[in-house]
Amino acid sequence: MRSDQQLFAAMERHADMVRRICMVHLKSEADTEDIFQEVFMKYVFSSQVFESEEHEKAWFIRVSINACKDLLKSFFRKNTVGIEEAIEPFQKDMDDERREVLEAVLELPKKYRDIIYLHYYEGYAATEIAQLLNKNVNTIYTLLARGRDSLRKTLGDEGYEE
Amino acid sequence: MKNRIQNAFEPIRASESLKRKTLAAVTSRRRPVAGTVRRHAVLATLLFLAVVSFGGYRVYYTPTDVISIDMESSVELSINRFERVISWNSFGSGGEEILESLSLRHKKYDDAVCTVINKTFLQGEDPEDMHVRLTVASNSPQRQRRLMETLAQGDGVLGDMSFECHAGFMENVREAHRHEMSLGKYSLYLELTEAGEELTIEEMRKMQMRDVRKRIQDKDPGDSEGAQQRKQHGQ
Repeated sequence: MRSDQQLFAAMERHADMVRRICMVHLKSEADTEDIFQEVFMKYVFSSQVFESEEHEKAWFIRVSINACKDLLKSFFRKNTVGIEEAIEPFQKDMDDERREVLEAVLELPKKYRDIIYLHYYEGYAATEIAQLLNKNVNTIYTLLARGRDSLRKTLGDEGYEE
Repeated sequence: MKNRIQNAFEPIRASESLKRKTLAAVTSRRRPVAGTVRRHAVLATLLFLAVVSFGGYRVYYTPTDVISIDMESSVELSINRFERVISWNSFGSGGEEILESLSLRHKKYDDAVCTVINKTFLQGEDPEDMHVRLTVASNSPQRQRRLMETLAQGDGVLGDMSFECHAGFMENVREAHRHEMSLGKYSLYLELTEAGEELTIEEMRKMQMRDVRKRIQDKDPGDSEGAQQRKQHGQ
């Protein structure tokens, strides 16, 4: 079991990323709180040894995505809210440009969202995403290209080189 | 694109209150007995003993409602007046497997039903082949109505699954168990025989739920439409 100091440090390093992954999958604050607790609880009680910070980050990404997906599988899940409400807590830092792009990403089919986020925000290459999500590299390339096309259609062509 | 997406996600950060709540939840889980928590535990124990001495235990563990969940296997939950699960049974092959590793005791009834359906789904059942039939019986008609209304909301999130929620009778529960059947399946047996079907209780007990459904459809082909209506109205 990890110490409080290890927990605080991990939270400093990864809390924002876990929050963004929750944003990509979930819209409700209540669901986000549940996932947040679950992910850090798993971290504290996990016996996984991390070889590097990158290794630890990859673990947090995997566990967060899986926790979100498990939650979404629950048939009786309540708290289904719209994108507007999901963005609402960050309203004061959102100009029109940010809002437009964020809404376009969140409105993508869910199979594209993780990949777009991991590639464009976290900077992972397709091969690394394939490893992270345990998927075929070619599938990731395809999903990335389709996600990009879809964004281009929604937001226009301007500035959409890779 | 990279810059625009990075710029869009930049303000999304974990709030301090979210971090605080998470830290509080994780650290409290880590130290179950310490300081004030220990005092609370002692008080809670004393209170619990007091409640027990006044018969609370008996009240808590008296079933007032029964929910029968009939899919390919059947699981039956006994619910107390506080709407918590106090015991459960499985009937037919696969039922025990569903209940294995599930922690249902003291769970709110709707969470427990959800857990059982989820477990079946996660065992690899195809949603399009899944038929969920709930039968709710209660000592109180008001509580029965409330339970059914809540459970019927599940229909909206069950996707491709067929879903029905029916009322049953408490007086049939014991008889159903005597014949090693769930309340839901036994209620179906009564319906079929009342409609003139020639079917022995032993035959019914051995029948799979999919065969029971087929028999109902063969008897009354219009019933699939009726089931769909019940699905839509959550009745």
